[in-house]
Amino acid sequence: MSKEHLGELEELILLVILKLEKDAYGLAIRQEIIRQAQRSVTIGAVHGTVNRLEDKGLIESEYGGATEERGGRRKRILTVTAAGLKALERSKDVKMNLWQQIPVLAVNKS
Amino acid sequence: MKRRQPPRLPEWLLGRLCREELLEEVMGDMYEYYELLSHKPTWKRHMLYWFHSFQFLRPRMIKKLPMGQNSSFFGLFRANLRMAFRSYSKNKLVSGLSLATLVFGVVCFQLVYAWIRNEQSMDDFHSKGDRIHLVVGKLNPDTDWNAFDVQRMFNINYAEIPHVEKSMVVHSYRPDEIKLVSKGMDHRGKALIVDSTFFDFFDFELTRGTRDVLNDPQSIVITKAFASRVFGKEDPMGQVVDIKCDQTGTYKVAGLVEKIPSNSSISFDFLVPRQSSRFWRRMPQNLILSDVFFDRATFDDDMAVAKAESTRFPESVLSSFPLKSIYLDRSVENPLFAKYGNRTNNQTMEGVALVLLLITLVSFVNLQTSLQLTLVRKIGVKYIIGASRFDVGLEIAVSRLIYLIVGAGLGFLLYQWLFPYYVGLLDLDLDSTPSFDMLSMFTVMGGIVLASWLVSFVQVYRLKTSQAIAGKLSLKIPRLQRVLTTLQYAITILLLVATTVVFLQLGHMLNKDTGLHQRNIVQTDFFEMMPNQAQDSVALERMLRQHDYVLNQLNNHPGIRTVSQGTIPIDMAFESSWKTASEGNEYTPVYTMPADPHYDDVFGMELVEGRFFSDTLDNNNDNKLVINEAAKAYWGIDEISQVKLTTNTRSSSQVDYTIIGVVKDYHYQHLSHKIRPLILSYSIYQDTDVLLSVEEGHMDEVVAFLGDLYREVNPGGIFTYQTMEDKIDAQYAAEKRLSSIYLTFSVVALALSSIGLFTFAFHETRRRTKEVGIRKVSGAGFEQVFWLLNLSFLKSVAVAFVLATPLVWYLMRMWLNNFAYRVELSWWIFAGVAVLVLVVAMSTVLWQTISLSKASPVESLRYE
Repeated sequence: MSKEHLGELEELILLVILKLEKDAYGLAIRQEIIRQAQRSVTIGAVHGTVNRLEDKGLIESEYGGATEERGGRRKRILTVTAAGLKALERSKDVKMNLWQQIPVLAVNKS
Repeated sequence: MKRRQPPRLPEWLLGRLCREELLEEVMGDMYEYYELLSHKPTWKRHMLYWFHSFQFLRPRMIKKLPMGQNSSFFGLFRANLRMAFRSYSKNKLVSGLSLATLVFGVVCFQLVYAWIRNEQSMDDFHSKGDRIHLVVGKLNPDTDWNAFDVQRMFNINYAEIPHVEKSMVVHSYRPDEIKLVSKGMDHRGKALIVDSTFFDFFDFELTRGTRDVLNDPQSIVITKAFASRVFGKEDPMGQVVDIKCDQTGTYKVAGLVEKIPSNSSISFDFLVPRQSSRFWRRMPQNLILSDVFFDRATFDDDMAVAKAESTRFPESVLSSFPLKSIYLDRSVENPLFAKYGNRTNNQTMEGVALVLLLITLVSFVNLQTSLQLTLVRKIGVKYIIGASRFDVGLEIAVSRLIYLIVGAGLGFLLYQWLFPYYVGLLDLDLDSTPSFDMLSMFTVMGGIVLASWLVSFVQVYRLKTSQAIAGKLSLKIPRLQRVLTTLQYAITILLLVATTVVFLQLGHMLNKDTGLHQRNIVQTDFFEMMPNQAQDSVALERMLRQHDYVLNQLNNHPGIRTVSQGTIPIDMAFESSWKTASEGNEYTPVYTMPADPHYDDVFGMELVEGRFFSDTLDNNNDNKLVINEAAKAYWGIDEISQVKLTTNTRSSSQVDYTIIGVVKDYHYQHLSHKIRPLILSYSIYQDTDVLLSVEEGHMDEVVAFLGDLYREVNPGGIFTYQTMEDKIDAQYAAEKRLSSIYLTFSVVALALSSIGLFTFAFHETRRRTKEVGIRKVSGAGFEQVFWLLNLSFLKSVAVAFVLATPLVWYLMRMWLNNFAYRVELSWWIFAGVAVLVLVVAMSTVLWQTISLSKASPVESLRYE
């Protein structure tokens, strides 16, 4: 079912949210992706993906306090739901499973 | 340090476009992001900020459009579309008629408009067209303007005239005067003998060769159409051809003109460089290319000064006509111009186009409004459910939009299909311009649909919901629409009467006895232009031998009654100045034609006095004339032997001409003219066309004989001939065209008006179904109900008739006044048209009124 399959950016963002723990919001996620994956995504792309994940029920959000550096606006702090964790695990299992079926030689060669 | 604020504009845009629930987060992130960029140069910071802001414009984040109750604009649109199709299939008849009206009306309009546009853009494609002028002159103040070789006659150097940049001399040779010989075969075509500056003046498109091609005296340029006639599929470039007229020469094809556009008044089949021969016999015309400061009055003055040095024609006046005015004004006639327009004709066509457009508009709007009236209750219900006026307006708009799209598609197909028939039927010279025509049709349809939408919307806007639901609302057709339909009928009646009158007048002119024999007369061009004796005496001798041989053959043929040389006397008389020799009178222009001794036999002219020319008594230089009765009356001649005539056109010294006979008046011009004075002068030249009067029933045989004889004398030549009947037909081509235009479009107008009336009947019968039921229950019979229903329709046709009659009577009287011989405007034309219109109108209405009148009251009361 399509809801349970994760896109590449979706998976990346879920992992980053987990890593950032209490400090996961739009711009922070973007910065973390740049740092971890050396991959430049636009803020809009992050927001789009986050909204999609929320629609799928894989993450939840709540508003944090207003801060000076945001011009008095609140942050939306994201957390991964149980369904999100499950989806991540399934994705990881599928990949691990595949990796294990590949002969060691073939991997080392490349 | 004070924080820098991010740029305002993208923030504002985000605020407008982004969904509210996401806005705070988005703006916060953007604000923070802007701060992160603080180490970058400002321009880069701004650029990145803008770039990221735009990245937010994705479907999930943009606000939904504010649309009433519906969740999305496209959903609403789809729902409306479904509704529109439902309403079409429920009212197939009215929707079908609406579409037919729209398509048919607009296509007809476009057909007329295409022609008008072609006329209006005449010669516009020459980029220097505004600066090209034809030099004209009069040898004395009484004559018409004429385009002669001013440069040579007055020894004028155009380079010395201010504001004249370039000049060009053009000789025009008609197809019967010049031929192009390729591989031993003759090909006749219209030729212009031009200076090398030709392509500096005119912008005819050259597909092959360069624009300076005419600099080479041995190169000619030909049109693609003529090339394929001459060379077939072979490549015309580089082909060697001979040109024969009064000069002969060998040339090489070095340029190819794609096509003479239909909006060009100048046409040719090939161009020959003028410098390839020292002398060309045809009288040429002078064209000048002026600069932008050219002024006609100044030019006239300058020319008067320039010509003063040559004293040959002291009374002469010189001037110029702008190229673009010549087509419509017909201010000067000469063979350079292939065709002329007609202002009155154009105005008529513009009127016809306007009428068509109006009738289509009125019909479509009427149809749609009546359809809308049946939907009043539905709209009431919609309002109650909570639809806004905007929603209802959109619903109507969507349903009209479908008409526009389907109509434009069908219209384009119909137009493409009809165009060749239209051009063929009306014998028009018209290029097809599909993309422009499509655009213009779409615009016109768009306008009509928009108008119908506005009318319907205003109607719906005014609607009071409660009244609509309760059925209290009057469903009567608005008064305006009734008036418009009546007007439509008035226009239709007008067009029909005009058509009838034009047809009658045409028939009258074609059948009128002109005083000449018209049947079994053939004119054919047997002989080439006589060679100049000084240049080529051998050729002259050969030609004279041929001439004797041909005439001998013709005279001995049993199917030929009379042989003469000359031209069929239709529009072939030209004015020259004459006066009676005895008095000191002024010269006045009088029509003159040449004739040989057998000319009167061919046409059956009757002599009133004296004798006609004869072989034995007369001679080319005898100065003898035959005049007609009109000329005799014109000069008040009692005894022809007492009076002599003289002219100043033929030679500068005064010569007296003897009148030897008077012929009975006959028509030698279009019947719009009364018979005017005519002088026949004796002339026998061997190269004149041969005129034959053929015995009844021998026409085919004689034409075949002529063809064989022609090919015997002119090997490789192409035989052509004209009959008098063809020439008369051609003479009235303008009236014929007018009558077929009127006929076509009055039928269209009648059809469209009938559709309008049909809708009324359709609507009325539905509205009054119950009423009829009640009347019948109360004792009314079929007859009473029938008349009750039909009378209102009859009334509008009657009013239309009363409106149209005086107007059309006046207009047709004006038109008929153009003709010296005209039909009477009798009452039965009007009566006939009235009956026709009534029959058509009633037949569209009757089917519905009869079925309602017949219906059992039980049925009609249970209706709804």
